[in-house]
Amino acid sequence: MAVTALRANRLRSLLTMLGVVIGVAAVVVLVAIGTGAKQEVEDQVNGLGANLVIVVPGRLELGSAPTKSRLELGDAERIGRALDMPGRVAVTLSSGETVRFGSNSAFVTVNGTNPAVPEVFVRPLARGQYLRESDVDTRRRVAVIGSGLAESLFDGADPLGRTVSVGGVRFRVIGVFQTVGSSLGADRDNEVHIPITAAQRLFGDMRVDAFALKAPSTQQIEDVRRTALAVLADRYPDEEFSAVTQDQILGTVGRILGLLTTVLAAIAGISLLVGGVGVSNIMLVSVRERTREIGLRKAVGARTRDITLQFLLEAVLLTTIGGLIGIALGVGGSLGLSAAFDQLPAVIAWWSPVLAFTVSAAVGIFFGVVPARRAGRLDPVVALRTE
Amino acid sequence: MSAPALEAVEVTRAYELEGVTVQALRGVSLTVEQGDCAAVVGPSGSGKSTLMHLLGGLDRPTTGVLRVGGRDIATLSEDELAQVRNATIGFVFQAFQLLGRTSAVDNVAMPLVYRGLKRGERRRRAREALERVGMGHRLDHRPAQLSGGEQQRVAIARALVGDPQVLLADEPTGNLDTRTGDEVMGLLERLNTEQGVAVVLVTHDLDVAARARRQIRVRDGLLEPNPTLTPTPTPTPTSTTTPPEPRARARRTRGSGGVVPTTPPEPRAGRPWADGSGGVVRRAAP
Repeated sequence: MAVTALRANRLRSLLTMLGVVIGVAAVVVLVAIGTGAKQEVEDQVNGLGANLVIVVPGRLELGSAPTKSRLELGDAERIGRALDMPGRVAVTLSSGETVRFGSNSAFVTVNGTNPAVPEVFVRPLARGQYLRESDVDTRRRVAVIGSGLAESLFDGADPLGRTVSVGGVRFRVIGVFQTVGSSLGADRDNEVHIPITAAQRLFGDMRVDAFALKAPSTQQIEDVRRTALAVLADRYPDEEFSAVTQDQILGTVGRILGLLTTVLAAIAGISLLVGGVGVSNIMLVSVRERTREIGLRKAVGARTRDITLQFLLEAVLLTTIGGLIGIALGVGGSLGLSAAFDQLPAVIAWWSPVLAFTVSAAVGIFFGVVPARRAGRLDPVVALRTE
Repeated sequence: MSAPALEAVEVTRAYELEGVTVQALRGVSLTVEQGDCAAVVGPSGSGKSTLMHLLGGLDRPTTGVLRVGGRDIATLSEDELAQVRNATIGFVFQAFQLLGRTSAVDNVAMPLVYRGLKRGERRRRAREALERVGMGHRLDHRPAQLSGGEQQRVAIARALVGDPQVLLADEPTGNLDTRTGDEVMGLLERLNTEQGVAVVLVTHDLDVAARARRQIRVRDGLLEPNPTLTPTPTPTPTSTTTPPEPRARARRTRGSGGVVPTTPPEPRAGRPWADGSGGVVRRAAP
């Protein structure tokens, strides 16, 4: 019955649905992008390694003042000793530099590091070897380069043993990283790792940007964090340092992305609401148009609830069909977007279509109730007399 | 066959129209027995439509008692009344009131939806009803594809499909030409005589009214006594094949009331029409 009525006014039904279709599709797409972004960040953060603690100067908060680092290489040793894991504190001092080989050049991040890096982070090598303790001690000019950089500088030739110019200084390539993709905005396939001591001389900066440690287990993350901070507080009483864990990074980023997703979905939800108002409007028109039909149905025995239910069903049918189309469009659109743009990872969480469908059905009920009740309450005598 | 199909006792109906109270019915008592065939006649505004709505259980009296299918409708809720209508009454309207986008068979099956029957059973009964009115060959046609007479036949089939005790026909020939009107009347008469369905016609066409076994005249919200049009129940033409008389479609509405003597009848209690003599008026005010 309800289907017949909707089919009879096919164009009108379709246009009415459109509001719900667009609303649901928008919600699904935006939630998919938000979820995808969050997922991507989680993958990247977890891809760095497990149980990481990263120590940086200053406070690591949005809006806090950038802090000049006063950390030095010796501090890494002190922290290592305090934690009883000497030589397992990774250090970094980075700067953007131009790297050249022959006529090819690229402007990339150059990291001064130490041999602890492969123990702390997941940085598998494709070829060659990583920096050794002796390279740091002797300030040897050797470099490990990312796979992307190897490709662009050497055009497929073997980079091992070749000499590249880093910021005008010649370094010998001793290793090439495996491809790992980018992480938190850093393109890790276009990095160069050189001994921290060589970097300090190259950049003219005797300090260290940050430390990274790996706790032996998840339970010990907090201990490691506290000990590292205690060592630094002892040495630099007037300074503030932050030691962040992956969970903290994920928590912060996740909250921001979650908020963003909610706001976007809410904006899309408004269009769903507008779609619902459209449904309500059309149902009111429909009740008026079909007053005689309602009168007739009541005359031949339809009860108030039969009529109410019929119109409510029509409204819910409109919105749920619209909802299903919207979900299909939304899922298709999300997948299409993420296929077309690398920067837009879209993940369809199982709950988002379910929620969208439920909401569209609820919109039908909510916005259908008023017209449906009006229809049900019509007096058959009056309704039959209507022209 | 014991209880009368419809019974009105001292029924009044008043409307509020923009603050003014309109007395549509001032005190009407009548009985429609099972298998009865009566025509309600009267000029426009006489209250015959109101009477029709009351008899059909579409409306409730302001005062008085109305029994539909033996049940006092004052004791029924809206929903119960709807079910009583569904089981007892078949409505035939002047404008047919068919659903435009629905086939004949589904139009006819519609009342059975509210009886909770399955679709297959509904359609089976609807086909039967359409065959009874001679429309068995037009099952899947839509109203727009049917002539006026055919549409009214479909509407009559819809009224019949629930096996009602009474067919209430409100100007059933009003939208039809004389010939088709005659055919529809013939059909109603046949249903009445052959199948025992009580028929109550509301009309202001006296030629149509004359074909009923008795006439009930309404004027100014009251029944008029013993109509002069048919002093005794005339033998109604029962044969459906009676060729339609070449009647002029003159609307003798003025004549319907003007010639009637207004002497008030002796008020009688009980079944006023038990003797089959005709209408009885009980005036609300002298």
